[in-house]
Amino acid sequence: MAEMQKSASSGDSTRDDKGAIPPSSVDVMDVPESELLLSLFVQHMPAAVAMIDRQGRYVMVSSRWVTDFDLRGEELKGAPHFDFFEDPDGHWHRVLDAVKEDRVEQGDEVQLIRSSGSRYWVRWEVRPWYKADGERGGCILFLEDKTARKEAEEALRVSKDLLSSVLISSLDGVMVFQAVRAQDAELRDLEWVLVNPRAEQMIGYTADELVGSYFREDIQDEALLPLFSDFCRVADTGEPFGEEIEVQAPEGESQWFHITAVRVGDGLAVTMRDVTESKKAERRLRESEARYRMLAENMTDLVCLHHPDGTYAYVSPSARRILGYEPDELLGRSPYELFHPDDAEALRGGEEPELFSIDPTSKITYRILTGTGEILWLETSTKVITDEDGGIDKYLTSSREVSDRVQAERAMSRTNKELEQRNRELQDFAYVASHDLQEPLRKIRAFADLLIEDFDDVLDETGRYYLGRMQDGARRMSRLISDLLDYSRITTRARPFEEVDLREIINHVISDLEMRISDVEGSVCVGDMPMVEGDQTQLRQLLQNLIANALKFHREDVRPVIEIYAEEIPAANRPNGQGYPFVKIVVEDNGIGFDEKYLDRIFTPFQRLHNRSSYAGTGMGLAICRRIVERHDGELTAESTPGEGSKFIITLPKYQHRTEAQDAPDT
Amino acid sequence: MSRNSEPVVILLAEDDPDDRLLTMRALDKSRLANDLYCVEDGEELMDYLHRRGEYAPPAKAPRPGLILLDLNMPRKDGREALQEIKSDASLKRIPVIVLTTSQAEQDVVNSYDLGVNAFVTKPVTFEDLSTAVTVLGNFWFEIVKLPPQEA
Repeated sequence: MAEMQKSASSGDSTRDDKGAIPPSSVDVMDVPESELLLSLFVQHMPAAVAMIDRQGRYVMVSSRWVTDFDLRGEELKGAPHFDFFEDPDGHWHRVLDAVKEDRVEQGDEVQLIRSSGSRYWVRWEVRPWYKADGERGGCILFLEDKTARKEAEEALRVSKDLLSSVLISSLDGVMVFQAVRAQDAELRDLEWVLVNPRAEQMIGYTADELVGSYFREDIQDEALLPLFSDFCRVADTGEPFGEEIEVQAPEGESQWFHITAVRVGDGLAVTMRDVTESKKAERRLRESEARYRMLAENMTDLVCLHHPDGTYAYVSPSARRILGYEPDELLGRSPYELFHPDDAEALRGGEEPELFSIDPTSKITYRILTGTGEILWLETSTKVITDEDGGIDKYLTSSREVSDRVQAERAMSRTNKELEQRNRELQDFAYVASHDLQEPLRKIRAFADLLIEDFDDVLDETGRYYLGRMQDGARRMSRLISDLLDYSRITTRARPFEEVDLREIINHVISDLEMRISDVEGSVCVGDMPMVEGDQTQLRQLLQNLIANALKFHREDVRPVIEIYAEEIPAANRPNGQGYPFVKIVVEDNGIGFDEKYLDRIFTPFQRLHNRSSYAGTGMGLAICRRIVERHDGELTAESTPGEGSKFIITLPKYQHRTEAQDAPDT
Repeated sequence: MSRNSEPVVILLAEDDPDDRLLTMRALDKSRLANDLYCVEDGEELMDYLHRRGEYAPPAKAPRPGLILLDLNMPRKDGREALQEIKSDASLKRIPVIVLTTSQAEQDVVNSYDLGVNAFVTKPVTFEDLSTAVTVLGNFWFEIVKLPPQEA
């Protein structure tokens, strides 16, 4: 170029053909004709060319210039180039300035902007032209419109980006293979062409390792190789391939892929989807169904599914044993057919609860006639299985044979009724004892009194003695009756259990017995006492009887010392494994004691170990004590050495569990 | 015995002849039996108070100043009679003392609910009965101010 510029600037009129326009070509033609030809040449030149003078005005343009840049109708000749084109960054001005210095400039893909706003991508070349005298006349612009190609390239790029971003972000693995064929067109191998990142993850190789290598020859992967023949078949036959394969991972659980392959060109595109989760869920479902079926099949209870109309949809094998029917025999039949006629009506609806109750907690008990003609009691609970819309899909019933239980319950309720009746009789007896038996005794005593008062002077010593014995007997009978009444009232006049402060009770008892304690110069020591649940009144009577006993049976020459102490026994320490905490209370004295062979005797009503003249009493005290302790679910026992003292041991549950009739009739 | 020298009529409602005898003896001993009348059940008691049937002649049934009432009696028992007396405007001012063998709490509570003036459980011995009757007599005829006698 620099050479050409030099020659141009030399100003020689016969310019060599390296010049922009060889002036010699003009010289050799007839001027008018050559002018015409020249103008035709320029006009029809198959390129957009413009000749511009030194002031940047158009001298001449080719028709392509006009059409390519849509300048039709514009008066170009003599008009400045930059009237039609913008040059926001000054690029074109710089180019034209360069040409002023006799340089040739060219470039690829530069934007050209029309004043109207249209944009063009152009390849361009600008070179100076020289007049005959060698003076530079301006420049020639050659522009090639590349806009269409540029746009096509852009569109291609965008679509490539889109495709690659789809491939990159796809949750499915995608691989593309190209067939590698021998000369005879036989398929020898498959060449990896494309592997997306998900596929890299799935098969454990990078795209760099794979692309360009051969499936069979290079990647010797045992997990993948079995697919080779399948893939080849797709490439050869064009038949799509789809299968789920299990890939055993070296460590951890195996994975499941769903693989699809379709022929693309002379090769194939493979997509891989990880279906491990759904495979696992499917397996779990299958296993759980198998488990439940196994449960139902092996249950001793009868498990059935019923259609919404109640007919059997599934019957577990225990039907054979319980109902005396083969499970299949019952399918499609209604359970009501099996019902005892008396129960069927009631359970089919009406006042009694229905077999297919909506309440999952309700259980119904009814009789059925088995296949072998037996009558059995069944207990059934029902669960509603709903469909997706919340409607009833099936009923699940679970039934159990309860004939033995029903019979036991009936026997129990009979026994209970008998017991209640006997209790009532006892209460009646207690009432009779307290009123009607006491009445005549009262009269015996009153009239004996009257006899003494009115006929004292008539009676001799013996008569008065007899009357005294009579009165004494009546008085004792009266005591016996009232003690017996107390004994019977332990249950008939029971009060509800509450938290009882034993220490407080003992203090009350001691203050009640204060006179007797000081009479015998005795002392009572009380240790720490726990709280316990019980009938306050009865526990007080219990301790009163025991302490009074201890005072009563003291040794003549020894001051009575009574020690009362307690111990809490946690549930775990009970030797007989009763699982609740107990309280042990001991009342220990230094009295006359008793022979332990009489242990059972002392707690029996009216049993005494001493004659009445030595120790007063009816023999009911300890019997009442034991009855009170038993009502509290506890135990009362004693240890003793004659002549040394006795130890009465009360064991009571710390908490009471049972509930009793708390409003016993007042007798 | 009397207050202001006026004889006070005591009416004893008791079905048991032994008890009637014993009560009479006790009243006697306390010198309270000057004017004692007896009825044997609740029906008879109400006939006496309303002067019906055999008690129609006023001389046979002077208005009592005190009623001693047993609870357990045939036909109409003491509880029913007590209720009738205490809901009858002309009778409710007569003091009523329940004298019974019953020790049942329910009887005590019910009797006071019905408006009894005192509830006494019969003492077992005659001596105690005499003492009780004497104390009762002293209390009702000497200490307590009673409403004026009506015709």
